[in-house]
Amino acid sequence: MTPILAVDGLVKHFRAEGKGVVHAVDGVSFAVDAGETLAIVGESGSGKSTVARLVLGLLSPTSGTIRFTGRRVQMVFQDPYASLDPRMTASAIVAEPLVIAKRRSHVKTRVPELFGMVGLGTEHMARFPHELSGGQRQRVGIARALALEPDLVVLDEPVSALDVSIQAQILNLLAELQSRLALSYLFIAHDLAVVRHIAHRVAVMHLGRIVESADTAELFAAPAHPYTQALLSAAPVPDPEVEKARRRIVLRGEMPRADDPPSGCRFRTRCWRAQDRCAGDEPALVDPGAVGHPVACFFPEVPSPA
Amino acid sequence: MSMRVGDESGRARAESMDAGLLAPEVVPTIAAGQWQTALRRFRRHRVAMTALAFLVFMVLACYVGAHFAPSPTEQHLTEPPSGPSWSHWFGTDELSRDELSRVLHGGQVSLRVAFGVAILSTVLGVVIGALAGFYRGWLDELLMRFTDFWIALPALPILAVVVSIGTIDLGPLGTLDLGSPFGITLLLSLLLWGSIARVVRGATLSLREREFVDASRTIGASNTRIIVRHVLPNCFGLIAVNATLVVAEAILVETTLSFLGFGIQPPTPSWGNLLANSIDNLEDQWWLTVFPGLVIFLTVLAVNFLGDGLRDALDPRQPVRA
Amino acid sequence: MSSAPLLEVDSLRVEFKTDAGTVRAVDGVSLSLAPGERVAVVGESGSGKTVTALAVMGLLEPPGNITGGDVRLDGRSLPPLPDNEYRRIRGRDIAMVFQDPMSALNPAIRVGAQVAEAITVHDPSVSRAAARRRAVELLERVGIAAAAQRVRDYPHQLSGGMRQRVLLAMALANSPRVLIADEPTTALDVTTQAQILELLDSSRADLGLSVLLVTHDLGVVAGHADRVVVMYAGRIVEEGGVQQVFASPRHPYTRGLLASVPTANGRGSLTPIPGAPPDLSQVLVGCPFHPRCAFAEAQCLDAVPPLVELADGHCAACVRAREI
Repeated sequence: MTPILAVDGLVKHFRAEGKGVVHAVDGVSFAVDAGETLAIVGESGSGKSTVARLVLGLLSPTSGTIRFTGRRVQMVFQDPYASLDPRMTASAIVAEPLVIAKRRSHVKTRVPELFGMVGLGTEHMARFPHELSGGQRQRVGIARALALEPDLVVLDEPVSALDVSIQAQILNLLAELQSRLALSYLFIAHDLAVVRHIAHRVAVMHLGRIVESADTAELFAAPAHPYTQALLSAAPVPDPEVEKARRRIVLRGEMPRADDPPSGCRFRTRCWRAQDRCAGDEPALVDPGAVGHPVACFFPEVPSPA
Repeated sequence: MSMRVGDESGRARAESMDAGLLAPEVVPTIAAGQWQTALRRFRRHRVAMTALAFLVFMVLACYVGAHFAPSPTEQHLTEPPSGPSWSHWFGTDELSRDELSRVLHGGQVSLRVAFGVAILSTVLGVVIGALAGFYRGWLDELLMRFTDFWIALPALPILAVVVSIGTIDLGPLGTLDLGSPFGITLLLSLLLWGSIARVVRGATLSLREREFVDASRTIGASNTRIIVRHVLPNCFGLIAVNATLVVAEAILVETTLSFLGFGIQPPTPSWGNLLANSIDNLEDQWWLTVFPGLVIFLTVLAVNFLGDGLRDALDPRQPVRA
Repeated sequence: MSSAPLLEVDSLRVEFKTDAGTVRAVDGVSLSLAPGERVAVVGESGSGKTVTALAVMGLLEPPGNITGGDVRLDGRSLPPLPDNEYRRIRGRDIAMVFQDPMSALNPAIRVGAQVAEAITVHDPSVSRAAARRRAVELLERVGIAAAAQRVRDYPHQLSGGMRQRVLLAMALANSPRVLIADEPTTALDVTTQAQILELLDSSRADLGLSVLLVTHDLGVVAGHADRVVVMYAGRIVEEGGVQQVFASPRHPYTRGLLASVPTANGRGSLTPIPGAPPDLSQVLVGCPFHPRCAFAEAQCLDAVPPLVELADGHCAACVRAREI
């Protein structure tokens, strides 16, 4: 089955004035199957937001290919306030894609339909963004993304800027929309916990590269790459017993700069398992067999036989 | 709300292109629905409201009131110039023309020129500023150096020289008398658009980085649509404030020009040439200088206060000054 | 409790006069912090938690005003203090670390100078050289490598995590007794967050600090607090020991929060809390949570439920707390 999105060897370098080249994305390959959610998880500087913008065509790649076999890609942005034009009403915002696509006649029927799909009522249609709550604004953003019936929706940290109790509402909405409309999602996040609830597969990015990629359950149960392990360990769990009992991995040092990545493995400066070899070659993203999914590490943690 | 520190796409963009990014808060965008709030704030700004009332009164006086005043050209050569009296509130001049009436008619010309300049230079400044700020790169460099050049030009000497050319022949478009109010309006507009261009460029630079512009791109909006429908409407407050400043500037420049003899020529009255005629006789006929001068001063002051009030009303973070 | 509380907030009320009306941001909040204790104040936006922290520090600006209640440090009432006395307390007895390190640091001054300023402001007798030496020590203490060189850096040359460490160094410079941390790690990456929280814990242990941690992150609370205070719509709805509250939450909001938070150790489905927080410029009738509450009944509209003690130190403001 052909994936709906296939990204191969994607590279994006930014020329920084006087400071050399920022390796925002440095050789990323992944695929999204129809109807599934692939989450790309990373911290700031990982390049995950750049990947999102490359897939959308907002940025053009330095090299690499992006093959999309669906009809349309749309995007939901992180900041529900900043991604809506403050001078437009909610219905105008949702209608705009239709207007631009010269389907003005569809607006009358489609816009209320979209509002209903995302859980907003007709009373919200005439409101301006500042008159809506964060969760409602994000729903407007989702409705806008769905207006042209996309096959793939790229979501760039869609719940990070929302209150905790609202995050769950939006995550549930996204899951429901996915099954109802047979959507595929590329879900960008920094929060592993969120990703666990919505993604089928997860790819972990670090400094422009994917370091591990696996089915969600497998990644959480047996993370092989030390960075993934550190991320999981650092994610706070709202359970005091668990927090007390868990083994905390606290990384040393700072994230290396994207315009001056370390030689060899880019994680080695903070890695507790780093050895000489790690400074030489760069580990490729391959499945060494014992692990069961692709990892970019010379010394991945192999799951102990059950 | 969580803002990722060092969000790499933003940082990379900032590093790859010339900075000059203003934080989103620097351009306060007013949602269309917030106009009521802005209006309310404006109404509470007493100084600005007074200024607005004064300006409305000025305009009414100059256009409507002028009908009721004695003719500005009616001369009684037998009578000497007289000071303010009940029949001539502003006195009469050396040709015994009613000064109040001349001031009012002069006001029509000066105000027309000023508002005309404001509109034309705003259009020019907005187009240039928006293009420069949105497209950046070489176009920005070119347009901004061009703008710098225009701003640096000494307005008065240039205008003086150009106006003295007199009438120019525009071929199929007819002739243009550069000393006429229309001619002066055109010339002043060409000279005063620079500050608006700079301001709009700054605002555009900031706004184009906002996520809603990205969002518009993803739904297929063309650059033109983004500039016209998304960026410019969000600059509206900023543009309005700067346009009022241009009005004030235009009044002053036109007045000075006419005063020096290079602007509006008699017999068409303007506030400036009224002063030109009278300044020699300041001691004897003080009213011929003081009244026009006072009117100019108060009008420009009022326009500036209006601009202040607009700015305060549109800035959501400022506490409203009573 | 053996010792008297170090910091006490007593029935605090804070109002904001805005164009849209008067917003009651904090409506009768009382809490106490004992020496060496870590208390977390949890809430979402609009809960009033940050305003409470600012009120304690005396950093409220108009249109915000303390309209009732008291804040006491060592029994001494703070709000009536004149500005210069409050300034002496700020930074010396009570220190605060903010959410966004970039805006809390002056971008035009080197970080070493800013830390040194934190010292000399409270002790002008310290020489510049001595203050600078101490600044280097402090930066080392908060885990900044090559502190002697980094002292000369400007804030924009440091990463988010390092800036937060600098802020922490400034806060700890005068060995305060109370540290108020307002969402200190929200703007940071998760691995950096872990580092900073660990630093907070170790500093607390070294200096015997009391920490008032304001956050929306329940995971952070679970791992780094002794007691938790849950705020909603300007009031406290539940408080108690962290184990108690997480194991058996007694207020529907707390229960709702715990059920709706995505967790990395997985739970299955998320149950969101329907609706949205109330508009605080409107007068609220009855319990502020009742429109979103699965357990709401007619009696919830009668009056705002008082905070009632259910077990040792565990209180909840819900008329049905014992049943649910």
